[in-house]
Amino acid sequence: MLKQLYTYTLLACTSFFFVQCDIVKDPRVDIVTTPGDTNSTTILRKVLIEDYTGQACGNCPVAAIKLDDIHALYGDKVIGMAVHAGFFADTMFFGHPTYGVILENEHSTAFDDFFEVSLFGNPNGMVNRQYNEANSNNIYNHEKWAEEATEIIQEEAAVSVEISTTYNSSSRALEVTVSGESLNDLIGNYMLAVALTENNVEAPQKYYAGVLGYEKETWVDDYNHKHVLRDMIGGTWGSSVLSDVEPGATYSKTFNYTIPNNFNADNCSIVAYVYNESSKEILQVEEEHIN
Amino acid sequence: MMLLGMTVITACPIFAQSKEAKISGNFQSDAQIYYEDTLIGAQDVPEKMLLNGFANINFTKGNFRAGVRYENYTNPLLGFPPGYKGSGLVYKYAGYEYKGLDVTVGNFYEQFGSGLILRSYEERLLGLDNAFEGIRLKYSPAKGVYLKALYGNQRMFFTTGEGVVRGIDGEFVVNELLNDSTYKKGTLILGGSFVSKYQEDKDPLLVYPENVASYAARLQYTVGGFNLNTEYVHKYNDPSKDNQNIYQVGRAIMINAGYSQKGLGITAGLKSINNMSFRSDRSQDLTNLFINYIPASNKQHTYNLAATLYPYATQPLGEYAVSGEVFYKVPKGSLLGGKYGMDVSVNVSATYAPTKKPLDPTTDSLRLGFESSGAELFKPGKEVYYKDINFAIKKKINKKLKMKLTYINLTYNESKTLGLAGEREEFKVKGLLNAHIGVADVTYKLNKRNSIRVEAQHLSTEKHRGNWATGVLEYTFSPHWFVGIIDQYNYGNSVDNQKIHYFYSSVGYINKGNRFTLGYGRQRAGVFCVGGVCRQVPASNGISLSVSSSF
Repeated sequence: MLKQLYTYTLLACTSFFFVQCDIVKDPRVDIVTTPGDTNSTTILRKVLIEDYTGQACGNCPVAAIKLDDIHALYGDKVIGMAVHAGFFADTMFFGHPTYGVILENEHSTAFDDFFEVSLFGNPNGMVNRQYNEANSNNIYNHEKWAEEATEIIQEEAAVSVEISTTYNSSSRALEVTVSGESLNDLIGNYMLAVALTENNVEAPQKYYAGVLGYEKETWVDDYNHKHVLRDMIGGTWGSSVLSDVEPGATYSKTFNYTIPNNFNADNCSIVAYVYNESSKEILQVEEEHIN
Repeated sequence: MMLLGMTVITACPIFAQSKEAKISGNFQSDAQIYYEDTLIGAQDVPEKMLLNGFANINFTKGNFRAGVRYENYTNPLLGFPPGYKGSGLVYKYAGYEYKGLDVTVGNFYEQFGSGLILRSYEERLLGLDNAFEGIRLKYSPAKGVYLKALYGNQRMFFTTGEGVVRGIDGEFVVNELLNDSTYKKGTLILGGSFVSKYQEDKDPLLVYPENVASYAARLQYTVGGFNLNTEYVHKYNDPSKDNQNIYQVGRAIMINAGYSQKGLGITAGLKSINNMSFRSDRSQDLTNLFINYIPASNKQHTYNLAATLYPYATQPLGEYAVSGEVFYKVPKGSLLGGKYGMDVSVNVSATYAPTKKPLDPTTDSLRLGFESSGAELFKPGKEVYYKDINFAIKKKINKKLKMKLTYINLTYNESKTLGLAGEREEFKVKGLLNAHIGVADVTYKLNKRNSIRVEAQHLSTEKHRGNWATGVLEYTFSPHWFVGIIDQYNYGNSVDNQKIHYFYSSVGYINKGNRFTLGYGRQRAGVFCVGGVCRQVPASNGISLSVSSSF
């Protein structure tokens, strides 16, 4: 009798383990309010999500779609940038025509060499270049981008970034002014970097077998590459704007740039960001279409 | 009346319970200096020298045990996951056994059944270590009943993963419940497991299940020389990076049967899995934070050309694999057997895609991804992933000479395993690759202390880099020293300047527990697999030094 009681108690205890199971009936999310929507005039942080990719990276379209989804959710709070660098962006190894469009450039390569993203694997990326403790580096895989972005867009910005552009379509001359002020005490040296991105670039992209419904490995020639990092205006790493300041310190920089002939100026945007020189973390980022 | 020799698969530890304190451990350090070699694709390494090292120290006294492991990667060797940069005491545990209850706190490894539902283990050479950090209990409340429970996080590099894993396993040796006439002949063991993981859902795009559960049921029956081992695992909705966030269930079935008698052994197996990637962090990839382990169905070869050029990596997302092996010992004194007998083995395995009927994404609002039913586990898909037929003959010719001859026929689907992902464009493989491999392995004993081993391997294939020939010469002298040279020659390469010799030499000294090895030469790029889990090894050229000891 005691032995039976003992057995049943044991079974009852073990059944504790059997209650942990969530079956999700509807995977869609009901969004009532988007985090970051506030009525106050507080300036909140925006997020720069850099998608390190390559045209020969057959898994990378999955990350691009993820970035699209996050953009659809958060609108202009999230700024996307595709950085083509590393082995899978090297046209020499494509085995497929490029049709004259080269997406890799000296700046994307410089960033990739420094942050070692493609060495870690593609697709992978960075979220405001913040440090990822789990990986001991600045790299997040695309499944983490949405949750990291959600946290960031609810935070108050420590610095403001405003962009104004003037573009002359006949001479292709572009004048960019980036200005702003510190909203908090800023300790350390802060740099401003200005990127030129081109949206809707039609160029080949490889899909591995089994990715997004493609049964066999396929090159899609008219793939739409979004927000591709094309050039850095004023140098890869930018220049110093604020150093050990109190709130209210202002900065302003003006750049002159000629849009190369092979870029479609109608699809170009300026992405400007202020970042901490030592940690490389981006404090605030802004995007402005050039027209 | 109770049957004595009971076989317990996942046995409780039977450690020597001596009253004296005992300290034991082992140490290994691998250092490599890298030179750039553009011909073979060996990249320049900024640090010039990379080092991996670890040390285990274990302490036991009576029923108590404790230990630590220190690991150091400054910086990790090429091909190792870069997340290992750094060092620390990554494994620490304490445990005791008291009146049948076994408690372990800290880090531990564990396996339920075949590992299809839960297995944490370490494979140092792969850079894989998903040890648990938490608490594990083992208890046998009655004769023939063995229970295990665990909970904790899993290790990832020098930290732990986000997700929490909880598991319970029960194994029941049924013998004492059956009557005389049945149980005297065989042993029946039933087992069941339940594992669930929790990870917070911070994602704004999808509603992820925070608790994901899985259960397993297994049966093992042994009678005479015959044994049967089966396990079924079911996993509830587990959208993750691996399966592209689908909410479909995962299933796995494994059936192994075997027969053995003196001089003859036969095994056959079926393993079919679908959507069985189970990690404690749904956003992880590569070999990080796996909760379960998919056993390899194909033979894990050891000869260089067979093991590192076209090996197969198990596909947790789904595969259907059948395998069989016959081992026969030709008796001594017979015509073929000669004076000492001869071992003959034949092994066959074929792995296919799983049967998965994809659902139309536009109407699949539940994001199930594909239709699933248990019956489909027993139907292979159309695509071939891997096929392997191999024969081996092992024979001792006389007191001094013994040899092993092996033939392997491989069919390899590169697009599935991506083993050649970084390969040069002219060598890319389209479709299936077929390769024939022959190996002759001869050892000649000069005298009591000295012996020479010669190995000749040949691989022929029409695709990729064409034919290879490998020669190995190893000379062991005095009981402590050995010298070896290996040359892999890609003579059949279609590109002239890629007909490369990969020449590597090594010398080593082994004395009691200590071992020192020094090597120099070229190592070609390849894939290194253990138990079906693989990592890519880049080409390298340089000097390597390895020191290991155990005490």
